[in-house]
Amino acid sequence: MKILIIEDEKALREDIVTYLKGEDYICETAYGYNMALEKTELYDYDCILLDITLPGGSGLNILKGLKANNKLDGVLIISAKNSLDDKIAGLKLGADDYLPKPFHLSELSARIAAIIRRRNFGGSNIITFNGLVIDTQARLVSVNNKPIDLTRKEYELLLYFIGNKGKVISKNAIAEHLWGDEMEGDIDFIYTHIKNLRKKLQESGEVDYIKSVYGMGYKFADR
Amino acid sequence: MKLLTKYNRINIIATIVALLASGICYYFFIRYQLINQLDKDLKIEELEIIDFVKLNKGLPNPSNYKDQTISFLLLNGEPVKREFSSKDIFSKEENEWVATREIEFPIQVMNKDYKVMISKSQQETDDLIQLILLITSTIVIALLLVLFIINRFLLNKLWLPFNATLQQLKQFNPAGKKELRLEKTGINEFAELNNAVNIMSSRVSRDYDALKNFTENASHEMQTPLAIINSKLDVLIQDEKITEQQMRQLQGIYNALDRLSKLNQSLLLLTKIENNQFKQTENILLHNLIPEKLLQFEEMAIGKNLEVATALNPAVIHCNKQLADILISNLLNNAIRYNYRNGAVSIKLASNELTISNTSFLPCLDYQKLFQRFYRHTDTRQEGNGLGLSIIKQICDAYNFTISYTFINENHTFQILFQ
Repeated sequence: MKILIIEDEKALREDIVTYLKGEDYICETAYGYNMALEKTELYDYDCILLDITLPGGSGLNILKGLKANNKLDGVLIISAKNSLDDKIAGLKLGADDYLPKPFHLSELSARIAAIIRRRNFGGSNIITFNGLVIDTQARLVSVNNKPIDLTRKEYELLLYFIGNKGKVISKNAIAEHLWGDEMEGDIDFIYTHIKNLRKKLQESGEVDYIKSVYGMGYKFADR
Repeated sequence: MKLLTKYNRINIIATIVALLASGICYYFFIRYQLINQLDKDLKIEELEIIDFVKLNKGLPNPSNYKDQTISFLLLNGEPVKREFSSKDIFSKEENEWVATREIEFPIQVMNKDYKVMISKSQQETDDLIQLILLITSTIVIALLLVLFIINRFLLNKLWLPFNATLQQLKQFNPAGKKELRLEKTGINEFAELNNAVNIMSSRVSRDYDALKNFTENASHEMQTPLAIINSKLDVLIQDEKITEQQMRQLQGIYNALDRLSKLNQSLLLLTKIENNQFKQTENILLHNLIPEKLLQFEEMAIGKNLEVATALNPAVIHCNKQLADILISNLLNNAIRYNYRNGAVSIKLASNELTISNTSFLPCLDYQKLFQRFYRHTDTRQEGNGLGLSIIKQICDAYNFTISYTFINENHTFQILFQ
């Protein structure tokens, strides 16, 4: 999977690369408008992270260029301007998603995974992880061919974990993912959902993949 | 007191005092002149008598005309000084006291000393003075009347441009897009005032805009460093060598960062509402939106074992979707978050009003400060940023909804009237 990160802020760009490298992603970067334009014209990517405010021009123009050339790259806009107008403009131009800064890298990773999944026209709406199978189209989860019944929050949580395999995810990031920023605080509710998800997976005979990391967050991993 | 009233008062008092003073001066001056004239007449009489005595070596006959009396008195050695005097003499003819002017002087006829007294009636003089006073007071009254009419009608008209300026100033709102448009006036003072007001208002608007832009820019500029801190932390916690102790420190940083991000977002939101950046409006079905939002807080409500009672009648408002979401979310969030265990929340929706009341561990909020930015009750234990109610108020203001707060029977109630 090839990902292009168009972001002028060096520190942020590097962190994104570091975080995503752990997944099966090959990351390329661009930090200016012209460089970004050149790369998007020359190569194809599975997903492009696009900052709107770039030195040299607007990220929206790059998006227009992609669509004009009938490119199929998935586009995730990351913008410091959390404005609905930008969001609407971006989505209208054909971006797949919009993530306002500041964001958690785990959120970014989960969204990239979702975009790539949707872009895969090969009909691969199925995610497998050992005995665990998730049909994202039907929103069904089964373990060893036995379907398990998850609540909406548990399903979202599982998908979030799958999108961040092997990574420590902070409780703050999980809370924001599950409840958005309209509902602040009360991170404790996460614990209940995680406990239930764990129980359901274990009851169906799967290994416990979810590990608590010093009360700071959780990690979804094989071992 | 109105300037006009004050001016009138001073003007009338000054006019009356001036006219009275001039009337008094006038009276004394005329009186002095007229008495002088009488004295001259008396002197002429005196000379005539002296001439008569010289020629005839005898006194003329005493006479008593209508307004002039001449009498003689034989003296027995007592000295007589020549002098003028005013006296009231009883007149038998008119049966009243009459003011007279008199001259006394000594005269020698055939070695005998006489005192001559000539008196003239002052009646005519007094009549003249009375007439003069009458004319003066008539003028005073006429003048006052004219002044009153001028003040009443003309001055009111003269002040019109001033009142127009005042009216405009009262309606002036630096947040509004409308600039102050003052009418042209021919009066220098008012033109100058309007000019000053124009300069001032445009400066106020400019400063206000600058401040708004500053807040928005500052909030925007803060997003990137916040994003970097966030991503650095996300990368940092992947390190397996981090100890539990260090993880706790990092958790503290995460929490503080969350608060900062939310604070920044709230400030940005407030500025955007103020800047009228939520232009798109649509019909919002509140009876659908409220249950939808309530679902988001379901867990929190269940966690606190709250009794949530809803009575939702259909209500449609014309509003921006995002702002309607925030409005309802913030209201519900407050009602649930600041509630105590086993508390109650009641939500009533009618076509024209929304009433949300709840029990809470907080006592009555400060009516004056409640909607102020960063106002938080001192007993607040939860980590709110003190902007929730400001945002609610700002959204209500943007759509002319009226929001009110009451605290009755241990229940905090917020009521919003749409239109």
